[in-house]
Amino acid sequence: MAHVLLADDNRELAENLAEILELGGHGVRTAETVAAFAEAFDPGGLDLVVSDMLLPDGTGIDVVRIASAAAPPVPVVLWTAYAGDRRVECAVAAGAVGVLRKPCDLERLLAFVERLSDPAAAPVAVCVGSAAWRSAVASAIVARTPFRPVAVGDDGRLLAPVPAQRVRAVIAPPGAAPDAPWVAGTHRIEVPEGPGAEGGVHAALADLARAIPASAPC
Amino acid sequence: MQAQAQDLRPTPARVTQPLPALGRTGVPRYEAVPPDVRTTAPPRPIAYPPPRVSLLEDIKEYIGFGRRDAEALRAFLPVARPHFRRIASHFYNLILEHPSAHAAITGGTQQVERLKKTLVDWMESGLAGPHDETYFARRSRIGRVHVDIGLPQRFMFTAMNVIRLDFRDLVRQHVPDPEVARTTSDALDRLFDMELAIMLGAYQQDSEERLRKRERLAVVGQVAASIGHELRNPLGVIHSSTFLLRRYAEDPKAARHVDKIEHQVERCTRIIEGLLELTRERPVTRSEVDLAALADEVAAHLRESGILGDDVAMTVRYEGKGTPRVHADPSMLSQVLSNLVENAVVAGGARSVVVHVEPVEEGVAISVLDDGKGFPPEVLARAFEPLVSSRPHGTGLGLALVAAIAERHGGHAEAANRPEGGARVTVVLPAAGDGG
Repeated sequence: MAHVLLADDNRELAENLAEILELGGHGVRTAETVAAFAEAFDPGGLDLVVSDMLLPDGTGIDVVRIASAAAPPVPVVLWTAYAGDRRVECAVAAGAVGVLRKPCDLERLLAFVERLSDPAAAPVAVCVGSAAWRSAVASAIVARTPFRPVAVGDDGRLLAPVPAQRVRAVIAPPGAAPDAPWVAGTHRIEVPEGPGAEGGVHAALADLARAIPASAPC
Repeated sequence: MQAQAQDLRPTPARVTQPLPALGRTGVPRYEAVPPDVRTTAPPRPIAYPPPRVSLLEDIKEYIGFGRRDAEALRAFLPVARPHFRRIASHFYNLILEHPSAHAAITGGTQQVERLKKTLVDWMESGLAGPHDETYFARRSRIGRVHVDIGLPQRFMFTAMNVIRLDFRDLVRQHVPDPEVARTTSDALDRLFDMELAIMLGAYQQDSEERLRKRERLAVVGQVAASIGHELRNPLGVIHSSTFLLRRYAEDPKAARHVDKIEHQVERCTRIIEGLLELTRERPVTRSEVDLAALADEVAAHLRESGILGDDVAMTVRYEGKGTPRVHADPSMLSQVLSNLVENAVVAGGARSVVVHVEPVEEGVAISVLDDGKGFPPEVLARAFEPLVSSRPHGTGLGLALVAAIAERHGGHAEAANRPEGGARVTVVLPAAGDGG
């Protein structure tokens, strides 16, 4: 059962998504502006945030910043018509864990909601490369492994309410693994940027899943 | 975000003052407006395209070509006429020494003889006059021809100078009276300046037309991109509603229609993606691409999405040593291969698709050959035009994108039916270092 806060000014779309998530047994609240989002944002009670990119009084970047700066931070998935935009790059750099495209990534969005709120799924930290890289890696993790992708901020902070000692692996472009205490003791996986990132991480994570059962106690 | 309806009139958004009048030299002249008039004078309307002002009067005024010149030229005509053929021959002999002029004149001696006669007529009518709008129109057409055959603009100056010098000699040798000689020389100078100005006007007009055409295309591209983006939100509502409908609809007939709606939404999305990709004009970022590996990756994607069935074979053939490599943008190349293989299988019904790579004179030719039913003739004729498709569920953008990508790399694309049946689409990419 996930607690989701949805930020989108397209009221009908927000209603539909709320209805879909509720049918799946999740709890959803919606906000149509950044201000409304900030007011409804309750970090302790939320599993994740789903946000559009363009809002009447701001952008998805503002939403990501609010969610990432909170204690504990709440993961954000962007669900937007404008995937591939420069602002999307900024939003991912600010800490969004994935970018999904309206309209047809609905199934993937649901998969993200399920996975990001699953306490049994072992977290795998995904460091920032480009927006496309992080999004591809996070999508691959959700689609093909039992793990839960967690965004890592610039400062090495985990941007999800996950205890650091549970992190099983760190995925980063070569040379980009953060210098943070929780990184020690995790499996490092390097996936270069460019076409084939998704395939590369799939192969690497397949090995990881074999080596570390996802449900092993920490 | 719901956008406002956009004003699509192509007004030049950055113009902050009305179009200025063309001055004597054809350069915009900004009239100094006294302070008290500025606030009350009504702004001149902005016209698109900008109004064409009759150049002839402006040119004559600036150059100072008047009645005295016309009379002097008419008086000189009988003296000059016997020398026209000689001057024309001299002119074309010199012109043909230039390689680009030589390349532009493709019709051999027959064409050159015709051109010499035209030049003689030109000299005749230039000296005889009248120098009116009909004369201007005829000279402009000649200028237009020079533009159309691709003669570089700067040639106009050297060419005119050859004529100018020959006529100066004529005056020196055949006009004894110094006063008349000076008047005639002045008149000839003004005539040739005027001719030059008119010819260059044709080049200017051509530049402006091409710029306007590019602007129009850019506007169309922006509009297309805008429409593409804006459609995603309503499509999002439709798509998510069908998702819910599927849960609620118990009647299997309803479920069938829900399926149809969902497929059409996916199709709309693919059209939008294709359109946006076409209009995006992403810069080409080249790197060394291993074509065999890229083809494998494309095949894997297509098999996973069910487009490439298990019963369809896809192979890579290379005419050369080692692995086929090409210097290109990997994601664009991936898109090209993906579109072509998908076409071969879905539109052509192919059971076997071959990616054939061979070095050619211009660089590398990558062909996708299939054993399907080939292009229908009416589709083949317009193969690379956007929104032309023989597939019932096709977007009609696949080949247009392939052509656009080839062009962005400085290469080109070809489509044909194979003599043994099936289709062949080839993308020729220049070798590294050509065309950016």
